[in-house]
Amino acid sequence: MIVNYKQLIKKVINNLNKNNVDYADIRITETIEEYILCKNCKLEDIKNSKKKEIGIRVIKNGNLGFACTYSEEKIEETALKAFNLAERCNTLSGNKIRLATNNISYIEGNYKTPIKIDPFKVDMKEKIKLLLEAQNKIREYNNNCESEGFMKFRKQKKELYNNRDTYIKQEFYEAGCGLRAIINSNNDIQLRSYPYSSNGNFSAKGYEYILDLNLIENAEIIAKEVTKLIYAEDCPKGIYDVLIDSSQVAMLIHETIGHTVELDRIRGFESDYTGGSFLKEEDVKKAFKFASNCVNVISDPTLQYGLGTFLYDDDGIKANKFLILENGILKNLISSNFVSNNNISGCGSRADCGNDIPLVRMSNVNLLPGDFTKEDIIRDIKYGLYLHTYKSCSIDFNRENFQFSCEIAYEIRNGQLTGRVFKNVVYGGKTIKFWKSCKGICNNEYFELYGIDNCGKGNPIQVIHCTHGSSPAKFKGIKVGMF
Amino acid sequence: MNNLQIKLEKIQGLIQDYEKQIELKIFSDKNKVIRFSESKIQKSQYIDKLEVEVTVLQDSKYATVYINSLELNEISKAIDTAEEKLKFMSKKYKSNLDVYKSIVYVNNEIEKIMENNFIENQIQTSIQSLSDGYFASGTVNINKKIEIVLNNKNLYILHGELSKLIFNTIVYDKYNNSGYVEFITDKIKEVNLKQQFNIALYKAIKSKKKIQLKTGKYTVILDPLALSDIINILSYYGFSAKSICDKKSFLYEKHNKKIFDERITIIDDIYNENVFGFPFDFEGEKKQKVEIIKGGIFFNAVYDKNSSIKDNIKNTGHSINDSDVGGYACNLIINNGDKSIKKIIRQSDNVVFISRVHYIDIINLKDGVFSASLENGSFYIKEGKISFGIDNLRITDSIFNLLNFLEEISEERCKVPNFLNVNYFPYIKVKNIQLYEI
Repeated sequence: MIVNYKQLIKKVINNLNKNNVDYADIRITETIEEYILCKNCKLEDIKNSKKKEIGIRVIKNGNLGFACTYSEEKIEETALKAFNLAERCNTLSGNKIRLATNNISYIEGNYKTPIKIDPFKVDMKEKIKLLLEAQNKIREYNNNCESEGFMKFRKQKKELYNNRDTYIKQEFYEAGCGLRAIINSNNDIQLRSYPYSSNGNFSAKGYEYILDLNLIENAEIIAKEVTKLIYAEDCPKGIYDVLIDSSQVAMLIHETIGHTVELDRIRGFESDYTGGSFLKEEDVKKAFKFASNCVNVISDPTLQYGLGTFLYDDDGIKANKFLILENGILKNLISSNFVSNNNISGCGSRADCGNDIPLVRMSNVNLLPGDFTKEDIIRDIKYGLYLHTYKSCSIDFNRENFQFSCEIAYEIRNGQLTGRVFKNVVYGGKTIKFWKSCKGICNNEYFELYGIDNCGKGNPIQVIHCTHGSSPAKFKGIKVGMF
Repeated sequence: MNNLQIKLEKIQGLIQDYEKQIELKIFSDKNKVIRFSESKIQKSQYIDKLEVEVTVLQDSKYATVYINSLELNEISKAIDTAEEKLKFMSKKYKSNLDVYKSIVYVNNEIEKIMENNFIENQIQTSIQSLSDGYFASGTVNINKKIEIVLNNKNLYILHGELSKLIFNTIVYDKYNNSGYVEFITDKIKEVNLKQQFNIALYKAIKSKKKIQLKTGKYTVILDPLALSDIINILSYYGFSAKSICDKKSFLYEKHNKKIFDERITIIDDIYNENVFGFPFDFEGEKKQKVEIIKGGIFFNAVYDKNSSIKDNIKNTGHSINDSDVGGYACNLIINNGDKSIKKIIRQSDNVVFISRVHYIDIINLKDGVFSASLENGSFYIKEGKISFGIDNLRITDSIFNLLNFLEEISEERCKVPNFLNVNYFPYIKVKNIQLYEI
């Protein structure tokens, strides 16, 4: 155990400065997690974890070296490793890094997620009881339903020190929950999930997030719907006008807009593994028409309750929100101080923990609400589908075309929901054509946030948490069915 | 005695004082990662990760706490937390303490090149040898994993060390014509990155003249990489006994039935010389060779401890520490045929060659239906020659079609990395596969 921790950090940074590094930083994360899983009205597992991770970046002559460790005792050794890696790059014509801004000196910042109820202080019995009650409700409605439910809580302390005397301390909380009702017959398997996809939903809140979900009431709704689904017909194939619910729009934003506008992907830094982007850097200047006029998309790391909310990013750049799409036109890309556009630093540098090197990452990327009510949009559809709850997806390397599946489709006929539902729903399209076919977005009343805790990028893959907000939206002439 | 051994002795000393059964699993994961893009080194990383699972077992109940420290005080705290959790847990069989075991497995040859410039030099030489107008982006990862399982009754200690090199690169020109390779090995003599770059370059050059194909059924040749990516994800969800028992797998109710072409045999065999990995699983069980498909007939699934108890069948040692998955077959081998891939191509006309698939989505696991986009090196074979590159296609079909409409299996096989270890797969030629224009 290191007694004088800050002094050690100072010593390590001083040593790196003596070796004439361009830049050096040390990130320390301490993450505590709790995961409770119940299946079929029984407690299945409780997982607790506690991890401390330390990551050190060094830029020497424009070359980047990174090393990480789990042990405070190895900080000096790890810093030397990062330095040596950066030096070794130099002999290999490395890709020179120029920081967009050097105005990151003398920052001292503090941030803490505002929470009402600390989830780690809530009695374990209470959490288990709530999950079991929700599952009982599913089984009460249909005894053939399998039920699954989880809660997950996270607290992470993050510290950033750099050789510009920056010291930033941030503390983040997350709460998440997911409930599933499944019917698994010999020939068919159907599921309905709440409050988001089968991976659950997450928010930067305390235990109050769980209490506000009305789990019991919604457990019954998903039990009813999955029972209906098992007898439903397969979704018809064809070209339809569709209303897409906000949870699916959230994933569409993530996969087809968020990743597409990441500058490192555009530059090909990720092209060997997780992929690139069909966009070019100059598309911003050319006012590239990405979507229809009603589509406005914002990157907002200041958003309340977002998993991608922070005061400073992992380069020490202050959070600011900016429009990605304005009236459908590409306005900005997601960038960082290390990977910047026209020497303007973005605040998109993020790594989940000290083990990971910060990459250009989404924070909270939202589709701004429109003016419509859901009824307005449905009224305007002669025959179509209301596609609900994200299930899975596949998208190509450059984010040009995609295929999504969802849990349920509600039939719309003559401007009304008929009450008929379809299962095995798949739809897809080409990114630009799809977003240009967006013909209306529901208003603020329908706006919801969806937190994702498993967005993978990099090689080796590293995970980040982010949020997407949206209201349901109407799309015209969408290809539905397997293709 | 190295630092790790000293720490282990101290840890054993600590846990021996507890009356309850304590089990520790230690996973160390060290990586030297070099990423390059636009033919230049982009960043170099040294990633040193540790995970320690501390499990307390009592009266058929168990509780686990995860930490990333080998400090005695942190392990003590984790034991206390796990003991506290025990009261909430229901009774389940978990203990491994019934059999004495001591397995030591060390395969560290590749580790030797972690600390020197061997890899940096190979990348530089290879990139410099690319034809004018071609660029490369990729990653070299020299990985060393240590897994240790021990308990406080001194009944067993399992210790494994494995080093491997994983390499992937995309070679491309400014018009986005590209080729891709992935490579994995545990042997220094097999590390020839230049050869791999040249394969990717060849594919990129062959992609130059591009055509658009219409939606329809095609005869396709799948590269071992593309085949492995598809089988791998279907295996993850479908070859486990738990998935079959839960009626979720495409293999449900298919036991002893002929489901694929009779030339298809798929085994999982850690002891085969062409694959590698630890000889014990994440629960400390010795890995068994499993004949999953033999002559097109489904015979055996892979098991972890819980699923083997449920089915009353011998544990095959395929736990990946995730009770939701059950077992995972991560050393798959598909038998080869007797024709070279060159000959198969020479005898093909109007055939699509698929090098790589991306972002595979399982649309329906019960029917084994998947969808993925074709990337970086898909070609159209006309009159026995790779004649055109292909743009924008998606494959959406089922594993049953893929392994039933078989025309040829190649003589050659390649090692391909999977989520955990390595598969050893041939090229296959299959007819009637559904491709969609996008």
